[in-house]
Amino acid sequence: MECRKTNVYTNIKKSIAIGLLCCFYCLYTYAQHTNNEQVKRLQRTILIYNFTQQITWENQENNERFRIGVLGPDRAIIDFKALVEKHKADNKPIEVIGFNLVEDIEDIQLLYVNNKYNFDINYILSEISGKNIFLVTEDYNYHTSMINIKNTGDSFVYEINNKNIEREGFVVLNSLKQYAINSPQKWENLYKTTEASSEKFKKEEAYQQKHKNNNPKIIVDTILNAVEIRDEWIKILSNESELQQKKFADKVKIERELEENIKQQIDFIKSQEEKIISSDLEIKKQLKYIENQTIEIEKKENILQEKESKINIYKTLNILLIVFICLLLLGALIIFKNYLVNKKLNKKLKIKNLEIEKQALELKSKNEELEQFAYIASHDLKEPLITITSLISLFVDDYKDKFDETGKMTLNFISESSVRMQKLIDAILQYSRLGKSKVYEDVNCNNTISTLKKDLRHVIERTNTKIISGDLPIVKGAKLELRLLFQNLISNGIKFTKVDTNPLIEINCIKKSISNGSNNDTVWEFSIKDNGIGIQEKHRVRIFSIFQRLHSREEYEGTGIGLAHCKKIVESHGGKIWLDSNEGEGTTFYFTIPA
Amino acid sequence: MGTTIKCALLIDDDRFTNFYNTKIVKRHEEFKDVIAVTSGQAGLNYLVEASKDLCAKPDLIFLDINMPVMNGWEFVLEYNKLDKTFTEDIKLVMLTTSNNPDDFERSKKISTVNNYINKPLSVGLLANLLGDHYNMKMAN
Repeated sequence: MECRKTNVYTNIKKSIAIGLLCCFYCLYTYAQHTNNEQVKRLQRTILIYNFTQQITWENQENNERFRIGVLGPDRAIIDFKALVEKHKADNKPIEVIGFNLVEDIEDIQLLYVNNKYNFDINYILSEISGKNIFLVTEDYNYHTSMINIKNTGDSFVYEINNKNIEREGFVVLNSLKQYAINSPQKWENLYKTTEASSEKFKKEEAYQQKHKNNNPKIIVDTILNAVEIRDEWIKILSNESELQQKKFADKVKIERELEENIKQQIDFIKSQEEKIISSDLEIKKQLKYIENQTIEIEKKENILQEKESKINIYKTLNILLIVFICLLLLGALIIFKNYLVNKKLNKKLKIKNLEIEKQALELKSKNEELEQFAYIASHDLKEPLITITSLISLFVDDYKDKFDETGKMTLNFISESSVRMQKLIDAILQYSRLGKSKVYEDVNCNNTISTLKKDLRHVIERTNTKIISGDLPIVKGAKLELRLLFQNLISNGIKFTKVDTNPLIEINCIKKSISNGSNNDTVWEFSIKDNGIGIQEKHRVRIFSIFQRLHSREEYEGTGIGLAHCKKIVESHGGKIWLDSNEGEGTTFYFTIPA
Repeated sequence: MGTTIKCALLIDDDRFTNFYNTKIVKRHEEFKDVIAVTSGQAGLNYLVEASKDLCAKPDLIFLDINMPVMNGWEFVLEYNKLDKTFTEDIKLVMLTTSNNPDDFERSKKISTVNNYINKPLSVGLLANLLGDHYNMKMAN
């Protein structure tokens, strides 16, 4: 409705027209309430188009087209393109070109830059310098550009920086300068009012929105009032400018066309927006799908990781198992090898043992043979000898008186010799039989000594011998052999005494521990000490041999077999016999019996 | 009382031993006759004849162990096979040079062997023997 009313006005000066256009668009916007932003864009386009009409470019004869450049992804490009379809600048068809980089700007007449894309003004100025490009900026600081425009909520204002314009050799019509903001204070105030008006606008809008349904009548009234006021104002204006009406009618026609065009453009933009929204939605869907996919992938990754860790665990388990089996095999191999070695050794040992057994058997049989031989030999020797001695004694009994002294002495020597021979043979027999007895019993040595004392009573009394015996143990052994052992040693002590000395014999025993390789054996160590003649160092081994005598029979009687008997008895009991002696002071015989 | 032992039998392969033993036995007043044979078999033969009353039955036998062909132990085995009623009151005494305890132990295990003595025989030994065996008999 109001659009049509403006058609009435005519004005000579373009600047007035611009101002009116601003108002018209202001009202238009107010009335429409539909899309403030769309109106703003339209206003901006028209404003800039108007600038082209009031600026003179030089040396433009060669250019077939008038080119407008837009820096940054500004929607102004679309607006301009819509505009230029039906309009010309400098009587040339207009072309709109978009730039993304300052460096690319070339071959244009006018450049539009909005500060919201943050291009540096000084950089732009330096780049376009000398290229005959007029710069129109929006929302940049005061006096930094050539023409700087600003939206004040319902209209656009602008400021002109003459310094930059003149430097590039542009001429701007005074009509343009007339409506420009020409001080920084005003420019700053504009910002404030813009904010205030936008706030006010918002409030009004909110109010309108609120009362739109409840109170349409009030709105209609307000509009009607405003219309009336304007009608009056328009009447005055129309009276003043009837002359210009005709020329202006053409302009209005153009504007109307422009408006239509813009409307179409808006519709197109709307559809584009819808498309964009739908594609946004689709993109969102896609994003959501991708997100789901990502989540699924993550899940699968987790599962994979779990499986991998499981596989790893199995791997380590398998490795451990293999190592374990290897160790087992190794152990088994070692054991088997040891077993083989042991078997071999055992075989060897068995063979050796068999050999030893064989040898032992051989030795045993040889020993038995020897003993048998000794026994039989001595037995067979003994019989004729007994006959000889018995016959001699018979002979002496019957014929003693018929012999002279020499004959008697000879008979006596024969008798004595045969008796001695009998004793020797008896000793050999006894010796061969020693150690044969393997029936060991507990022998109380104290009892053995006291029995011996009784047996040797006559000798002890005759020689005035003193026998001292300590507390002797009970040992395992052959009773008769042990008695013979003590008897021989005591008899020796009594026999081999110095002249005019009473024999003194001490018998003692201690328990001893002797280490025999790995075994520790405990033994009874007996000592039989006498105060006799002693034994020379060089004879100490010899005296234990059979029939070894150190003295003549005239000095000390005996067969010389006593100590050999002792040695055999002690050794057959598993002990040792030795002696310790100081010549002239006495001898101590030691022997051991295993405990 | 008269003599206790009317007849004594000596079995020994050694003639000199027999000679000596006969002399010793004859010296003892309790012994009357002494018969000496030089082998176990001869001794057995004598005993068989004596059982038929062809010769004097011995009251006491001195037996040597170490003899050729049939030794003392073999003689004892054969002796044990003789009629028990005949051998019952004969005293069998081992008279040997062996002082091997094994032989002594063996003699103890044979019930028909009454004693075991070592050579040489002496009057004293005979007296002991009579005391051991015939005094008891007389007491009975």
